[in-house]
Amino acid sequence: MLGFLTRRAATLAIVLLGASLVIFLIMRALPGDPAIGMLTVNASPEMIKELRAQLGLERPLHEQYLRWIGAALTGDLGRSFFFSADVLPLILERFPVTLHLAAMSLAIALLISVPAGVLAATHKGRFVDHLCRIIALIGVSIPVFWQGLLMILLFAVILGWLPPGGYAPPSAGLVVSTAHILMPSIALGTAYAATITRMLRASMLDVLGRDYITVARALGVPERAVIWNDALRNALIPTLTAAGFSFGYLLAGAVLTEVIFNLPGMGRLLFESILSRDYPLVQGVVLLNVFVFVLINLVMDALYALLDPRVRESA
Amino acid sequence: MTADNIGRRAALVGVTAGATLGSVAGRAAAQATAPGGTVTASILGNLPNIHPWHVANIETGAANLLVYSNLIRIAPDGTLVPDAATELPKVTENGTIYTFQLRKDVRFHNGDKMTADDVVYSYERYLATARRRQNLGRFIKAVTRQDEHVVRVELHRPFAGWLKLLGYEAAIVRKGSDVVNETATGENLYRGSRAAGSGPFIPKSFQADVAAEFEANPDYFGVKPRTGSIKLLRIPDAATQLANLRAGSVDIISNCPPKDFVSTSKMAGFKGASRPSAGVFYSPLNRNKPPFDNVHLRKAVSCGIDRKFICEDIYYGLVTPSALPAAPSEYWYDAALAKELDYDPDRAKFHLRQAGMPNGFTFEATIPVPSAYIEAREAAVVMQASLAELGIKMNIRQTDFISMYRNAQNGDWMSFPHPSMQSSIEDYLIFNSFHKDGAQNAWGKHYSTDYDTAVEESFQYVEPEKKLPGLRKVLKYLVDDCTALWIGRLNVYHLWRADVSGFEPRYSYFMDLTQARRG
Repeated sequence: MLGFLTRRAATLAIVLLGASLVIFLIMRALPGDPAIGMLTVNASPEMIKELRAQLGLERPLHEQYLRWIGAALTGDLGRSFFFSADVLPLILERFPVTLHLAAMSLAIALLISVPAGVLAATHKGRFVDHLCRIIALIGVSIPVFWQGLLMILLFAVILGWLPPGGYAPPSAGLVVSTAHILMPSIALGTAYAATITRMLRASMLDVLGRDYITVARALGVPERAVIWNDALRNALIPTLTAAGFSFGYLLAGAVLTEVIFNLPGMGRLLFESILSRDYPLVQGVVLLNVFVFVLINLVMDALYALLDPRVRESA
Repeated sequence: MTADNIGRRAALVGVTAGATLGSVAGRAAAQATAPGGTVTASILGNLPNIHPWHVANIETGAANLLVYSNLIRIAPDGTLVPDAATELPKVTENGTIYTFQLRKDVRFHNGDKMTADDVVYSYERYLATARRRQNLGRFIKAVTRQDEHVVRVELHRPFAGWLKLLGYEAAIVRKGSDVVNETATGENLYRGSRAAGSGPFIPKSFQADVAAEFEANPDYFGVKPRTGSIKLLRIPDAATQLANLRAGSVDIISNCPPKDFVSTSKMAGFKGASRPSAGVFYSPLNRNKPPFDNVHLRKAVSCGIDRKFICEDIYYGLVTPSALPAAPSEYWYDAALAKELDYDPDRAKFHLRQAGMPNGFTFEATIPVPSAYIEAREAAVVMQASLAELGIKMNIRQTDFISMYRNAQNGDWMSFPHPSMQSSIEDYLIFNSFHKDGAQNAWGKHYSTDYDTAVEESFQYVEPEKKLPGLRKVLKYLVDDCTALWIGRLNVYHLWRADVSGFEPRYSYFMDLTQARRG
């Protein structure tokens, strides 16, 4: 098990290094120039050149990369061109918002998708199944920003039950904090719920057709126990993968949701930094996203190994 | 216990929790907006800093108005009024030396009195470090202290318009304020210092791109603030801004789609107003490469665009149509000249024939997105349709502002229809875009001695009647040469809740919240 985790951790380091190089090069390949973004329309070519030199952008690419990655290894992700502030504190300021949103969204997605997926599978071909599939299809099809706007209109403007946006951390009080994060989490969570429901339904149908389920039923095990104890536990393994990746995507930042609900999270920060060609900030945010994503992957692998002895043995 | 019991109990718990959540959230919202407490204004664009002279956009400008004072400022109607000076400056006959008498009762937020030394320090640091220093730096030769409360500004050449630039982007900080780095106390002008400004509000908190809070300065030398604190909240989506206004979580919004402005301003509980501004919706045309190296093709496009339709149907009257840089209501507007470039399909066809292209031609219009002025894309589509009737094919290419500027710097462009906020049109835009020393002239490389002479002639004066002869020559040149495509002049507009007083749109586009109050 330890060897398995060590190998995975080594892979993580290689992926991070590769990702850092890719994002560094992609940013330099984008049209536009951070100096122009900072100086705006009135800048002369001489002023742009001068500012580029001040920012270190006139140095050879390999030198720029090595300086950045060298500093990053010591925890220094550089200074944001646009915000005139260090990158790491900016990211750390935003990450809790995204983490909160991602966790709530995933919780809502699982709360909806697990019962819905089980119900659809156990009532295959019947009304409940069709209903769950139609709802899941609608959930996948509706753009999150549209759903978000409709929810704001209904729950904030018309009914006045929830605030229309903004973020309140848990330290502001659980109720106030939940009131702020609820709508965006539902908007985002339902989209992921739709995907997970469909996946769980298919997985459940597969498991319910297995011999050991037939044997359990023949032995007189109550149907509820067969479904929830025997079938669901096995069907959840591929669902766990989907949920894990969903969490990774959510942590990478849900730009539209954050914009519509005015949440100062990582997605919005990344969007703004790309628009302003804020190289250090984009690189820092993407590097963190890659790190989180790969870390989740590692955790998922470890969980697999923990849950399934066959994985552990093969590792 | 049956499944039914569990279901009913769960439902009851859910409803109770929902009601509690809604009720508590409602109470929290009500407390946050107690009358006379905090005025919350939302801003659409980013708020990267509140540095006094790294004014990135109109949002930074709104924050700067709260925190800093200047020698003069621009009143809501666009006129100049003294701020930290006792009166408007005395100007020498040749128009190059301006003398300001400072008020003696101006104090910085840390209690220090403002003197001429602070003004000189600020302008020197501004000219040395500001990212937009080229605007004023092109005109200011020297700023010197005459005595403790008198400052003299010498210009390289006569340019009355520098006063509007002054009110637009520079500000006075306490001498010794570190304008580049963190100070020993950890204060930083980018995030707002509690000791550097002398404006009606003191920075309280700042989170880049998210929010900034300011508390009233009880020792402010001018008209005292009417509210305890102001909060600027960034909401990057126009529809969400409107929802926040309607839900009561913000009191004033900076921008919204024009059609929503019209409908919401008529609703009970809300107010809305618009005002002519120094903004302009126009498109520079690249005269250095085909097809716009041909003046007839430039004029054909100008005469082929139905400005009235764009302004009334897309902008609901919030853009005033004009084929000239001057608005029809302004003293330097010339109806006869405007007619030469205004919408007239027959005239457009005439110009196409003159250019030897009676069946039209193709060009590319680069549209910046996202745009600070909503509906720029829709307006471009109307332009496209309008020109198509003449056989002129306008291909729209969407890009972001930075890429657009990059193309402009490289000369890789044909036209840029876009909204532009200016400190003034007559004194600034026509200089900056087309005078040989104008920064934006690098885009089009426009050189005309006649034009430059006319611009400089008008720049010598502040008084409209004295400026007019020079400006008329400028207009005549711009029409004959059709140097740009003028669509209309932007009106600035805001929506706010009806219980907010002391707020109105400003000519210079920056939201002025200094006298805003709830209740």
